[in-house]
Amino acid sequence: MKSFPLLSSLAVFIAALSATAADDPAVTCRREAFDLAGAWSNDGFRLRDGCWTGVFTPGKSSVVRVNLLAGNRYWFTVAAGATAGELAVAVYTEDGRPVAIQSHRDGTRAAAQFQPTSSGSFLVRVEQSRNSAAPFCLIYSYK
Amino acid sequence: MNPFCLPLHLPTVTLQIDGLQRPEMNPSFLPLHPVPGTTLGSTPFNNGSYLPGMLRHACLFAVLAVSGLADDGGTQGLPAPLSQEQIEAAVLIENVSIPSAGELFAAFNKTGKHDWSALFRKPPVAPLLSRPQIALSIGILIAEGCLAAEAQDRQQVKNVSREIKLLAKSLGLEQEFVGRKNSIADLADSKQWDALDEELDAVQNELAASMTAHRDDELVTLMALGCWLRSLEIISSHLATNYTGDAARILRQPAVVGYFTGRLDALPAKLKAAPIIAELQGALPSVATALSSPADSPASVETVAAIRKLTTDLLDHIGQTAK
Repeated sequence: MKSFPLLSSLAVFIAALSATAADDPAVTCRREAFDLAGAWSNDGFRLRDGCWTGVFTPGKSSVVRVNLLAGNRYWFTVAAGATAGELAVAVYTEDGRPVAIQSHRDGTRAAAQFQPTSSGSFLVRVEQSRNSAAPFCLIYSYK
Repeated sequence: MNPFCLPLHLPTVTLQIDGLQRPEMNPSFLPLHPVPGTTLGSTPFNNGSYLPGMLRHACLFAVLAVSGLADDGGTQGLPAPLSQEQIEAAVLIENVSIPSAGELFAAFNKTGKHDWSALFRKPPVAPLLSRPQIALSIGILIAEGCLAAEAQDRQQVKNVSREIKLLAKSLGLEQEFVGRKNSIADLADSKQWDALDEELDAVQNELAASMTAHRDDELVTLMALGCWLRSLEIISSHLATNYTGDAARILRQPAVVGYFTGRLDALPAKLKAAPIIAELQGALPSVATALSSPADSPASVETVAAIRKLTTDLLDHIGQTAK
């Protein structure tokens, strides 16, 4: 019986910790991004373990440089906090020209599929429909 | 794919080409079935008993209709080009911007059948004494593990896993690797080679997170550099004896070299004084030149040979130099 208060405290602590993690917008958008990318995994895409997490700077682009390989197909998947509104992902050549992509939009989740014909540096831009400082998380898959 | 067995996460996609954007399904999700009135080989499909096919059509149209509501579905064109300011502000994230070993091998695999097992590297001949050497060697081993997965060599995967554990232990990171070691062995035993690649990628990230927590950020860069150099050596070694222009296109990675050059330049002076770091800094400009072929032409036979020599020399140096 003596262990009951200790166990109760532990349970409350774990519940509080879980609630904090669940409420954390950064954690939520990371989970959402991985959830959407699961669809591409069903299609044979391998998920890269790393991710780009950040916060949108109102009025500025969020662009990451990636090195893509000819022959591979890529899905870039992003999710953001609700204040970002709708999201879009675009891919550009290293000198900033947009390339043709297959895109997917689903509110605060979006993705772009791209198959480069030559290897090298590309730029992936994440856009929000609102001008908020929402957190976002970008991951990618390849096959 | 049978539309009655659609995946739970059925994606809605839009094809964006030449300024036009049309709602489409991912082609791999589309059901492959004949249209009545056509033939497939010698089998006609013009009879009236094609109800399942019609049902599939109805299902697909329903899904497409929902898709159209869910996405932007309009005629939005390609976005405007990025400005110079936007290009310069682009960030580089190590585990996003640098291709993983598995990613390189996946691209290389599409250029033909390769004898991956002929490319295994022998373990270092001398003990690794310095922390930078150990971090570089863990990276090399992660690439070696991906190579073993491509070769589908269960025992080699386990050997590599054991060596990673020993090196992680010498950096005080053994605990971080214990659980992963078991899952690597399980995946090898169950021949889940794709999942093994993902697991090795996760190992690298987990060790990197622990190194960062121990304020050893420079080791994170060195581990990634070791992995990348070994991947390049594997590809260039194979190409040196089996050259094809198609496969040589993979050896174009100018931004990656630029990233590592910048990271090595930013290392503390004490670390930069280590012979192995000086060696890497001295060789990276030549690697950069070799990996910067024009986008429309693959690396030549001579360039591939140069990449092979540069990477092999560096990896030998990492394994043999005591400090």
